[in-house]
Amino acid sequence: MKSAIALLAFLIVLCTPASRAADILNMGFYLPGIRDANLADVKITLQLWAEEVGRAHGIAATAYTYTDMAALYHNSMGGKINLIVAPGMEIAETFAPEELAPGFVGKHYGTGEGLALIVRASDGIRQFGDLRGKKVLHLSHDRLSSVYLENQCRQHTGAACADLFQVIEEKRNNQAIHKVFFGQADAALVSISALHAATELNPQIRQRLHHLLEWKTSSLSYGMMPARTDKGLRDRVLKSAMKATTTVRGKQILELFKTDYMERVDSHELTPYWQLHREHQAWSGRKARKN
Amino acid sequence: MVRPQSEEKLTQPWLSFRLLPANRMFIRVFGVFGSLLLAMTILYGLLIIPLQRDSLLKVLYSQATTVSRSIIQASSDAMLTDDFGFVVEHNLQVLQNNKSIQSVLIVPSRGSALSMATSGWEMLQTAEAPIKPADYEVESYRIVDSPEGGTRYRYITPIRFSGVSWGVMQIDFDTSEYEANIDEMYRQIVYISLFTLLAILPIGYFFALWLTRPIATISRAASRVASGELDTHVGIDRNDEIGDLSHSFNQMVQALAENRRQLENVNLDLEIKVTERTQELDELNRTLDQRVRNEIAKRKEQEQLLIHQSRLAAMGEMIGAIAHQWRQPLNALSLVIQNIHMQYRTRQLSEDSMQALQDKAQQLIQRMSQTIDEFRNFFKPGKHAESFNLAEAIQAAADILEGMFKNHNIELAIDCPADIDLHGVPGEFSQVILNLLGNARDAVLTAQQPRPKIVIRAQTVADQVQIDVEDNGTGFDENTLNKIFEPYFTTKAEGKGTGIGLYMSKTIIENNMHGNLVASNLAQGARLRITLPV
Repeated sequence: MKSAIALLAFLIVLCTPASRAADILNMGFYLPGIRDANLADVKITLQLWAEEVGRAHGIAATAYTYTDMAALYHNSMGGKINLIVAPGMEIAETFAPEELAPGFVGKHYGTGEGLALIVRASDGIRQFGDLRGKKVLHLSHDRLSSVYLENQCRQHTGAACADLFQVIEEKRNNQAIHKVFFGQADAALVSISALHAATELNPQIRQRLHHLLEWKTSSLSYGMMPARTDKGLRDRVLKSAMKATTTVRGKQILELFKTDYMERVDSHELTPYWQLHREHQAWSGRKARKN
Repeated sequence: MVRPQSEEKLTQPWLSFRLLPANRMFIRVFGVFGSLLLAMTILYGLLIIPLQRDSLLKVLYSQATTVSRSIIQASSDAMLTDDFGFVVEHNLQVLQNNKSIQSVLIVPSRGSALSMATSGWEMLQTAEAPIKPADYEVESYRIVDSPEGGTRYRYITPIRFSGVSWGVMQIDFDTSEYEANIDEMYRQIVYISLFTLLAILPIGYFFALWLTRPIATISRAASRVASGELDTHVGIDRNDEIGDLSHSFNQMVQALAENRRQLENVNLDLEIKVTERTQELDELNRTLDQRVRNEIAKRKEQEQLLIHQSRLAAMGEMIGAIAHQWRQPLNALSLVIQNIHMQYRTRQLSEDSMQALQDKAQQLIQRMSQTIDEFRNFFKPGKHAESFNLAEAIQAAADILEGMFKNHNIELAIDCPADIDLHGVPGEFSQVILNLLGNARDAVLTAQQPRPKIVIRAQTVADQVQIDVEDNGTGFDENTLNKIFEPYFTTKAEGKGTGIGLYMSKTIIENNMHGNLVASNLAQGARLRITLPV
């Protein structure tokens, strides 16, 4: 009897019109991409924002958090998740361009985003090769930093970074910047926005530190939808996301991702990441999972 | 019950149209109450502000010590290993999380100093640092001016690890909250003062009104009562001393009104009585002349009666005296007759002897006839006043009573100068002397004196003549002495005295002769003194 009822319910769900199914928004957030925040608070904030976005257009929204991009990919491809929020590098490494529909991105006013390899100007490091034997910092659990730095090492010296200098992971960009500033490290790969913020806090940083390399992109994190997502829902979600600066929860989300506002982006905005990924795949000899 | 015409009602204050009663007590009470309340509020504010300021400073100090300890504790490893990046990171985080901290300055004993603020941070050379570790062996805290304007709470504490000085840390706290609290406090005090002031107006107004209005009402009522409106009633119904006062006042006024009504009734009765008396007096005055005439006529009639009675009494006296005067000649005449009879029986009656006896009898009869004449002359009522000799008048009276006195062995002594003349009616004066001698005789006879004696003594004193009639009889007792000159008063036995002798004597002496007659007691007997003008 119970089996019969369950089967009946399943059939009812299946027979529900497409517009009905499109009214459900399930957000999948990749937590390692969110730094310097309490995870419990993050989950609550994400859920509340999801509800806010959904409520604006009569959508039932739910936030899901992931620590594994593979699981996120699996759920999004399975239709359980129809909004993926994760760092650009992780998205590029996990999704193929055709699997993604337009989404949104957090941006900074006035400054772009990307990575900067900084060194002390007084140390005489003028090119990448001068880093040999030095102490180089980058963000921990940051796939972009790892891939980019490794690509640069391969590109400039043909050697692995570990063979060139001491790579040390730091939890936060600021820590890395300050350690280079105070001479506790020789170089650091940090985000451009973080460096800009640190320079604003202490103009001495601009004087004492020098950009050895720069890699620019539109953002470090993206909110992308799977290509199969209903267009009507996609438009409504994007429209709501663009209003993040006007709502309390939206502002919290922007703060969480350390961005100033949200902007609609197409999937090709992730091209630099896919390019990094391809370069990384090229020298590592491994094939990407997709692409 | 009669409703009072005038009632001082305690009008409800909120119904009163007059905003400020013209009442000095109200103004004083209102002023004193309001001033006291306002002064207390301001005083409270002035006292509480320093205390609150100190309290806030203590809060700031507590916060500063907590923050500094937290920073030093968290950064101790970084400080000891010169990990200034961590120090900056940590302090920026502290600054970000604690908005009340404006800046943190860490100056190590060696190396560069770090100046961190919410707006940013910078590294300073030790020489550029505003504070030196050597200058701060102990903590310091004070309010300083901020370069941006306003003030800051600056807390400076030395940084020591295991007793070894590492440097010094200065934390500037935002005092805007502190200032806001102080401002809020001032604002609240101003509000409270304003509220108090606003509250004073109605509260003080009603309080002062509540306190003074009944007093003013009673005062006005008292003034009305004082002006005579005793129908005034105070309509204060309160369960306190003022209510008691009002009640007592009403009772007092009622009592006054009652007394006044009684007084008016008494006055009315008096007026009625006065009117009646006046009418009576008018009636009396109207008939007074007739009454006086009647009274005078009555009095004259009484006097005539008295005179008549007196005369009858005198006649009696005279008859008695005649009887005494005639007793001896009658005996002698009887002897003559017996001699005639004896001589006739004895044939001795001769022509000559007959003639002698006849002559003798004739003489006796002549003498008796003469006595009658003398008495008639003595009692002959004279109508006109004239001068007469006092001694003769006294002797004439004595002669009349001579026989009676001898018969009772009464000694009569007369001491009267012969040259004293009086002016009056001689018969009336003789009647007075006769009355006085008669009374004296009765007194000595009543006293049964072994040697009864009457003395008549006359003398001239200044321009008056004193005539004393003294006896050694019974004298007068106290009651008798006051009444002896009243008419019909007598101490004698029934039928022996008329009670008009002395009354008539006093009337004659004082009314007719303008003299005076008084009686007094002697050691033995009495004295009646006649004083007459010469």
